[in-house]
Amino acid sequence: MSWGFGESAVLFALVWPFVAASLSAIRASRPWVIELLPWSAAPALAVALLIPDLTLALPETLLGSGLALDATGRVFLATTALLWLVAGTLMVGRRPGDAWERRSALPALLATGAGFALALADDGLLWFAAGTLAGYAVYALILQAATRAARAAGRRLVILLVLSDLLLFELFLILAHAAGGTSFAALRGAVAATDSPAFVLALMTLGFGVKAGVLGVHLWLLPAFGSTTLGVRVALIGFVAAAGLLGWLRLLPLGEMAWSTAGTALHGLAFATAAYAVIGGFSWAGQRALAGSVLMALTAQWLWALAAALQRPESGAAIAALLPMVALQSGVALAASVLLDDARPTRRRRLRLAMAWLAVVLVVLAPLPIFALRMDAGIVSLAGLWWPSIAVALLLGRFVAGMTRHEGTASRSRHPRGRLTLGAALLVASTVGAATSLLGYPPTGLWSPIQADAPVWSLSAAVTIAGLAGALSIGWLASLRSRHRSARDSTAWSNPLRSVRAWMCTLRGWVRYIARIRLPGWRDAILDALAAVASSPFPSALARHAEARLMRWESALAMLVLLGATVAWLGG
Amino acid sequence: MTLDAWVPLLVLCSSLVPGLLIFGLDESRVRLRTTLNLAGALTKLALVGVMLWGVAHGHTYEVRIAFLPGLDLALRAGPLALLFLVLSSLLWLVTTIYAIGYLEGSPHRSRFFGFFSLCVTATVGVAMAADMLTFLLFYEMLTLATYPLVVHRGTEVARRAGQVYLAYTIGGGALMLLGIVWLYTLTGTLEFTPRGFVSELDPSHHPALILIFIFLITGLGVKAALIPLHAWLPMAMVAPAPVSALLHAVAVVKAGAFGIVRVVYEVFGVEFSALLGVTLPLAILAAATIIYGSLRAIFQDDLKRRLAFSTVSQVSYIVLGVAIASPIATVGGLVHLVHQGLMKITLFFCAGNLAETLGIHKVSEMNGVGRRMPWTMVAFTVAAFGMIGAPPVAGFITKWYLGLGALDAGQHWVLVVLAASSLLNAAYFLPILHAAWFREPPATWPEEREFGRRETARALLWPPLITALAAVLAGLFAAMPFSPLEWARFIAEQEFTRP
Repeated sequence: MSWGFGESAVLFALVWPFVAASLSAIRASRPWVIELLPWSAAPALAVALLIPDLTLALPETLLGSGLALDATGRVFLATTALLWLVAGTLMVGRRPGDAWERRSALPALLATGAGFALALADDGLLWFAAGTLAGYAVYALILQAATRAARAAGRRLVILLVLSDLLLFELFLILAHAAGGTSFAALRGAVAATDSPAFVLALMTLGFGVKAGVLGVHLWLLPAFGSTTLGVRVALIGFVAAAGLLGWLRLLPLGEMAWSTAGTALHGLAFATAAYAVIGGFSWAGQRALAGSVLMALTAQWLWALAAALQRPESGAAIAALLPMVALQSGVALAASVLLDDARPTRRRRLRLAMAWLAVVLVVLAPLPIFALRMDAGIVSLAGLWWPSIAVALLLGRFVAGMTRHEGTASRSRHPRGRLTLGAALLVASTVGAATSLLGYPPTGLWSPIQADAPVWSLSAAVTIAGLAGALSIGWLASLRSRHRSARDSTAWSNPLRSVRAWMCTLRGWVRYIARIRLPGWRDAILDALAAVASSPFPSALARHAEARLMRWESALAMLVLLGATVAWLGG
Repeated sequence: MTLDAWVPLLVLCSSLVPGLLIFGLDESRVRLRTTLNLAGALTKLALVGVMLWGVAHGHTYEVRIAFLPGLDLALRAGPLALLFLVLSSLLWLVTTIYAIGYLEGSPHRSRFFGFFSLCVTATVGVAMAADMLTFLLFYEMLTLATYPLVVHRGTEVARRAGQVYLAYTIGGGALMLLGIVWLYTLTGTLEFTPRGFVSELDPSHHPALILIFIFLITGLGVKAALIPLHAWLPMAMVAPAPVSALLHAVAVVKAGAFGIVRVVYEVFGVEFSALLGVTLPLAILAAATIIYGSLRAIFQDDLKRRLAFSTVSQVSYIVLGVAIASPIATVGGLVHLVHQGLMKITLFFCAGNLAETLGIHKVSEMNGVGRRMPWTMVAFTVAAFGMIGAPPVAGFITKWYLGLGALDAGQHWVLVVLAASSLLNAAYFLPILHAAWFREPPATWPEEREFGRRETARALLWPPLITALAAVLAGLFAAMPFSPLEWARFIAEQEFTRP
């Protein structure tokens, strides 16, 4: 086995965070581990930017795995690395000997390495293993916040992670059995040829959906955003992208077949997820959790694009090629806006707001090439409108309006002013991503010959831009609570802008009303009760009762007979 | 006798001789006893390594000693035997190191280590037995050698547990003897043969063969803790932690599961077993045990009892893999023989560390223990995730192969059992991990012992770390040559494809 520079660099970038994590085994090197945390993602970012496409077989890993630095993996690697560079920087530099910092270093490094493995994995098993590791590492990071809300979010996440991993295990098992292998290419072929597409789609949607925040299995996302530290929130964006969104892209045979029923189902789910994100964002979510709502709406946008690609296979391959850049641009820009929202009061208030608006524009316009592609294909209808993108715009409008009302939170970091700088760096990265995407450059290493394809940009996209800008304004206007009062006090009809504001506030009131009658408290109550039972190491009363029943000899025999009868019945 | 014939005998003697010598040692001869223990364990490991290399390259290690007219005491180290041998000799070394640290300063150590060595001798004999009679002899020797270890503490509870253990295992042994004698009268041989030796019998004997199968599986099922014959195992938890580790990961339970593998593959043959219609009921029994054991584990506050019920559940994966009767599931079942050993021994070592260092015996006392004993809990966490089946720890490989095998055999219900089992495993392991890592520790621990800057004694800390690392490596590099998975594939290939 001979590896060139590129292969060695990829392997080093992947292994480096794990090596740094293992250094924590040596007492003397633990301070170094914390110092290494911000830099653990640097090699991966360099690899994503510089190394040409390659594949690397690891036949002795798991059941025969491999790594691939392809167009999709490269963009996700860059996204994950960028977000972890920033998250790592935010996680260190607190007070010397800080307990939170010390305890967070190990899970953060494990989550970083797992995130890179997700981006680079060329087969289902390695991807699944990395996703599992990333999930539990993120759970540990969330719980390090040590607040009541963070613990509740962590408990919800761990229950959903177990379910997600079980479903994904069954999914990969069924696909691998059908495909006779675990490479993504083989698994995609198995998805295309499956006899039970609805079952496979359900497993996929629920399995990836937990990590991506799809409606119904999203229950951890908003509380996690509302209760964790800034660094963890930035890291969560990378986790959602790599462990959730990427899964669909790797497994769905986009552009290879028409799968209209799946497309319709995903459309419906995307719409519902976006609607829930809007209701949540406009009613009960606080400013921090609002970023979680935006992320949920971005997931809905992603599902919407996947649905479009499945319904129209002629544009499926093009959409699949564009989606990673959408993830990079919107994920990185959202992270920048989260940073700016949390920035400390500075004299550069206007600069901060200007940067926040730039972030908003970058997030909102991220799917523009896909809009253009769809509109050029003549697919314009009410149902075909990009409702999740409108939801993203609405929520971001509210987010920035909220940012104008508060001045950020005091930082415990030794480098509080660094947030503006880090935010600016992320914005630069997102802008570069936007330019690359809009000008039609394929994502490739800088050492590869680069040739731009004809951009998919079209003038018809201007219509979309106008629509999204309108939604953005609506979101902003609907969030200005203080101005609502003045609008109501004055003669609304005399000033059209005030009139619009008043309408927006009425709309916001409706949304709040829907939110109140909505999703009743019983769901949260059940989940919290389940979480409380699950997190209790020994629920005594229940345990004693169950133990008394189970320890009877006849209980074991009854179970045996019941299982035998079930199997006999199933087997005819 | 050739050199190759001597090697199996030397493997037996490498633990038998030190064991007998240790019995005669005075309690104060700590250094000599430790030297004998470690020398025996290292010698055995080296000899097993030689045999592993040899068998992989086509050598056969076999020895026969005349025992009764027409019956030999026969030892043979084939691929299947080697799988169990490598596991038991490797874990014996680690457990010996752990036991030396665990029992430091306690009474009756010569007796303990003497029986400990005899126990491993019997296990090695079970692994290398070339026929049913030899198997039975070592199987019963194992029962007798482990009884003094179970009652080692000498308390009333320990003696009661020992009596229950003896009652169950001797009863099981009697049933096995009955089955073996009946089998011999029908076939005239007891020699383990690839694909079995009973398939040539006239179909009129099939009802008798089904009964023999039931006798043998019931006898072996006692040690393998299949329901409803499992009750002795949680009671035997009163034994010291190294004995629990030995019972659950190295010797007793594994001997039962290994015996079932032998009976299905090399007495009846897997295809003939399926023809007799005994594999599906066996699979259902294993599945019920998996679910029942996990359900019981959830409600145990005593940490070792929780782990014991976990063993009841996990060992049945081996039986399930065998009973699904497909080549891929066979790989899953066989490889779990090793994987479960690595993970479960780690968990018992950790439980022992918690008890010895902080006096923690109950799950409800484990709040915040991860901060006080981080390395122990890292090992525990790795093993617990392996038990749940989370990749890349070894348990995942087992579940993957069992699932694939079930799909291959068209037994889709097994997927539901695997999913339910993983869910239940998570339900009884994750709350422990949550409490240990994320809850606030109490002001004082039940019975804390100080070890300076270290969290516990070195001899107690290294063994779980080594076995936890091995569990990760066995999963992460499952496709490497000589990995447990590759060896299990080698065995399954021989079983299913050899003409």
